[in-house]
Order: sequence, then C-alpha cells, then structure tokens
Amino acid sequence: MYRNVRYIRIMNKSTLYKGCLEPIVMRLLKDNDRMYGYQITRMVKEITKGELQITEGALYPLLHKLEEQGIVETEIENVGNRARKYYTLTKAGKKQTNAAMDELKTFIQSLNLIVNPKIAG
Amino acid sequence: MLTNEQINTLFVFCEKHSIRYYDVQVELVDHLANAIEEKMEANKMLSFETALESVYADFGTMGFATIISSRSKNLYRQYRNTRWKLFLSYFQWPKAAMTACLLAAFLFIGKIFSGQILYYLVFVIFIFVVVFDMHVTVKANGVIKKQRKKLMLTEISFERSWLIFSIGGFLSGIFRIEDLFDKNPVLLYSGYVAFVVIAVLFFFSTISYRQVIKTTEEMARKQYPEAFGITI
Repeated sequence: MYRNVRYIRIMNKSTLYKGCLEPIVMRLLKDNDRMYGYQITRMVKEITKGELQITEGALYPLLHKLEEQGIVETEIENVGNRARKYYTLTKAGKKQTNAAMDELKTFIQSLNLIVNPKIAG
Repeated sequence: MLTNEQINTLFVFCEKHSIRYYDVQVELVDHLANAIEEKMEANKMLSFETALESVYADFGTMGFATIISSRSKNLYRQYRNTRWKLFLSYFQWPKAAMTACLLAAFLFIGKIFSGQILYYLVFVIFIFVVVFDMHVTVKANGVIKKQRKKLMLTEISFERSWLIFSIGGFLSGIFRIEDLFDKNPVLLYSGYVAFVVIAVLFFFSTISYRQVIKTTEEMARKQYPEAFGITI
C-alpha cells in the first residue's frame, strides 16, 4: 500500500513538472544572461532545494529544440582545458519568455482555484 | 579540475557510446566533467572511473541516445527551414523585383529568337545551372573533407537528398522541350517558358544552399576551430 502511494506521488510530480520545463529554462536564461547545460541542472536543483531535478535526457533535447526555434543562440568558449557551450536568449526568445511567464502565471492561478476552491468562491 | 588526460578519456568514452560528432561530444564532455568534478570534490576517495560510471548512470537507460537523436532532428529541421526561407526570399520584396526582371528578360529573349537558336539557348541555360549546382555541391563536400573531426552541424546542414530528384526532373524537362522543336512555335514558346521557370527555381535553390554552406562553415570554424585543425 505504502509503495503504491509513494509511486503515485513521484509520478504525479514529474508529470506536472514536465510541461513547465520550457518556461523554467527560459526564465533562468533570462535572469542569468548566459548559461551552460550543467549549470542549468544545478541551478534548478538549488533554487527548488532539490524538489525539482532536470534530467540530462530532458534538458539537452529541450535546449536543442529552443535553438532550432531561434529562442536561444549558442557560443563556445574555452574554460580551462575544455570547451563549454553557452546558451543565451535571442531577442525573440526574450519576448517569448515574457509571454511564457504570463501563461505560466495564469496556469498557476487556474490551478490555485481548483486546489483552493474557497478563493474562487 | 580534471587533467587533460582525463578530458581525453571523456572524449573516448563518448566515441565508445556512439557519439561520433565532435560538436556533440564537446557539450557532453563538459557536462560529464562538471558532474565528475563535483562528485570527486564531495568524496575525495572517489576515483575518476567510478565517478564517471555514476554520472553516466544519471543519463538514464537510454544513455546519450535521446540527446543525439534530438540534436540531429532539430538541426535537420533548423536547416531545412533556413534553406526554405532563403529560397522564398527570392519571391518577396526586394528580391522579388530581381526575380521578375530576370524572368522578364528570359521571356523577352524567347520572343526574339526562335527554332534552333532557342534550343541552343535552353541548352546553355541548362549547362550553366547544372554546372553551378555541381560546383556548389563539390565545395560543400570539400568543407567536410577539410575537417579533421566530424561535425553534425556541417554534415546535416550540407545534406541534399532532394538533389537527385531535382536534377532528374530537370533532365526529363529538357528532353521534353527537345520533342517540341518540330512542332508549332506557340507550343515551342510555352515549353521554353516552362523550362526557364524551372531553371530559375533550380538556380535559386542552389544559391540558397550556397548561402547556407557559407554561413554554416563560418560558424563551424568560429565555434569548433579544433575540428578544422586550428589550435587556439
């Protein structure tokens, strides 16, 4: 019984979080000017105190998709003995981030109305 | 900080896990290196090899497969859209004016000349666009051959699977126009017009492809000079 409950809790958290990954990454890029892949995973973990964790298998495909859509652009810089790929929001990407944030806020408000029906009343 | 030898080990590790492209390897090596450094910092007793195994396990059961497939899919889409946009720009202001002038000039020439001369003209245009296209394709292959390391960026953006179909269609077009020469002049002129339109479209697609090669090569040289044997 306990196992099933625990499984459902974890599954729901990751499912809910999946759709929010894109605006989260865009927001981080907006706030930090430019970031590299590993830095994004670390920062999400730090900010949410380990509650949310972006896996590598989810982050890089998303970054590649954002690059294809012209939302981010990349530059390579040598750091110590290795090259590092930095992602920066493009002008269009900055505009889209604002729109994505507004959408996310509206979504959270709607969710809040469902979670706390008293507010709606 | 990992040593140069350990960084090289990570590149070999990527190769062993089917990451053949240097531009993809660079990003993964940096990610692995950062994660390994953090693990080794937290646990001084941890060996590089054990840390690497543990970090790779975080990529899940699919390993690097999801990353490599997403990268190739998105690059393909990105360059197909770029080429298409460049091609369409010849039908949008201000380039559309040049396209209209070019077509008008060809149509005017078609009115002046007739019979055998028109056929020679068609032949000259045909040779020009095909040779120009072949020159651009050879140049693109030359860029890839110059590379010391494989780049997904150049390999996908230079891809041209539709080329054979274009040339095939184009060839069948020229043979059809030859059949028309013994027929009436109105039909001949219509054939000439159809040929010129196809030739111009084909020429624009080659120019768009050439632009993509040029900008991609510049970007690849700037971002990955090591792939071209340039050390910094």
